[in-house]
Amino acid sequence: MSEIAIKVDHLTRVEGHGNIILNAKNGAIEKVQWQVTEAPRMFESFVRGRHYHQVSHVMSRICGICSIGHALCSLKATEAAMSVTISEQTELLRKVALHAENMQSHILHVGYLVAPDLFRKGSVFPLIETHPDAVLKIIALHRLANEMSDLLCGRTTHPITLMVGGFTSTPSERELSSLRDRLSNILPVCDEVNQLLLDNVHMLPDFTRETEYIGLTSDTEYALYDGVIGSTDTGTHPVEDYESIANEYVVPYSTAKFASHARESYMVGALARFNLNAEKLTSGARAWAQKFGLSPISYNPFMNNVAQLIEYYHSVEDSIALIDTILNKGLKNETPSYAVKAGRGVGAVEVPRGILFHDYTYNDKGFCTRANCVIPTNQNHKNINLDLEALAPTLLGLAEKEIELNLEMLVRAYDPCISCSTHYLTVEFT
Amino acid sequence: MNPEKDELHEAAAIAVITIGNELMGDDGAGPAVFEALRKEPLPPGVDVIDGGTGGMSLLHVIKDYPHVILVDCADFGGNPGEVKVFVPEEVRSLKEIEYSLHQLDLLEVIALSQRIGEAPRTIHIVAVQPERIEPATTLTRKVSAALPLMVKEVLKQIMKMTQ
Repeated sequence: MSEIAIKVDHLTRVEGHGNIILNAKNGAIEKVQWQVTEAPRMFESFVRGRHYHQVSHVMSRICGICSIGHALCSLKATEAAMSVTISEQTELLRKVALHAENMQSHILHVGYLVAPDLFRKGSVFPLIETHPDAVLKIIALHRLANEMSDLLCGRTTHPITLMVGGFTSTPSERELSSLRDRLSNILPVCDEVNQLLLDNVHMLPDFTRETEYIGLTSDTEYALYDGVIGSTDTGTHPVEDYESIANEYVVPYSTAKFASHARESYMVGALARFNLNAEKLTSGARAWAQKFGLSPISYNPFMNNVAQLIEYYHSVEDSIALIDTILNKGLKNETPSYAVKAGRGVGAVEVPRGILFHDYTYNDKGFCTRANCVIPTNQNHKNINLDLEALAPTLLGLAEKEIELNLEMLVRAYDPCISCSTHYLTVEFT
Repeated sequence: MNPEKDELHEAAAIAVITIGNELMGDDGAGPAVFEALRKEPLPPGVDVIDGGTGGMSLLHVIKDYPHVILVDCADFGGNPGEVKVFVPEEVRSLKEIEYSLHQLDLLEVIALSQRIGEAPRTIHIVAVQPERIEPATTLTRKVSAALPLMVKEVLKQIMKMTQ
């Protein structure tokens, strides 16, 4: 570990391996730690020297789950650098695309990765025998989100239709109308899946630890695609100030960067967004928040799972409204028009796991000379560590297996984009 | 949802889906077969799909086809480079990992597809025994040498289904 030198300019790690270490002796915790051991991935270096039209495609490869969000954040940064304005139609379609990713990612996490914990199963596969109806509904929600991504972005993962200034191709009005109907028809399935979580929400540990929550916020909407930086501690900040929000730093035991702002740590993700923007949720999503008894500010990180399902509902309802607006205005065939110029731009987007920043500098030929990205999961690492430190002492009376499960559930609740963590997690007892 | 794509899917009766990560040594056998198949004249009604590292999304792909041929590397205890063709019912998984987004068990996805009544009528797996699965952008010599046989086995399965 000590041989790996992390440099500030190198990109954060978003996939890979993490360990939970817990050492306890005679009923006292000696060490509890969340470690990320993934190698640096160098994406910021990859795009240096690349032409601006390639950058979003390279950057979307940072993640196979949040590839739409990375592409959109990248496009926003490039557009900010070159003062490119986008049409209302492009913004509306991008918002629908981002909803598709949010839905895809959230149902995958709650349905496939968290549900087995709630039913005390090792994975989603045995659930088909014990809860076939639930699994079928989860698959239906996942399938719709995948097909929605296909329609808006050209394929499920790593979008090909999103480009600087607009879209290479857009769905037809008929396709959008058909998507609208399918979204409308899926709401009862969302209700049933939410009810299932509600029936089992007592399986989520009742654990709270006060912390700061950071995410995009907006006066006009539940901020996902656009907004300013919001903090539950310090109010709002311009997106361009992101470096003084994240304050990234390195620690010897992790190859991922850590972040802190007003306190020792902060949390980003669905719960942070809910805590900052709950009143802007669609009516159906707000009703579900009430049923779950979730109101801002919730300091229970396990409620991030609940916030994700509430956001799925919001994304469905808001997508219906967005498509209605697009169809009412009439779908236009648009060609982006802009001039390439030198400059620096910062983009911020809420991706499923939290607020994401891309920051590029271009020369006058449109080649990238500098890039910096701040990824959600890295903003959460310190918060995960502090939560583990607070949670672990409360668990010591339990059997080792139960302690392990609770610690794993805590890390999973953050939905870290070290997605393989469901099986790479190892817990050591000494 | 794309009408053209839907028509294509209706017409295509067979999907050859290659699985693997070309950054992980012999796990790149699937992607290598994908590239080789692109150069082969295939009968109409056959889609060749780069399934990447698989995952739960495969569930949504295989449902559209009555016949699926999966191409992957698999540790079946053979000699490196040995090729086997089998159906899922002939094997049981020895993998002990739990489900994750990237490294789930292909056989589990097939079982799930069967359990929910969406599985293709036939599934064949063309697999090669790997020698080395670790970060590397090349196949080992033995697995590389097995590629023509893997392609041949895929074409043989296609012939069987289309005749």
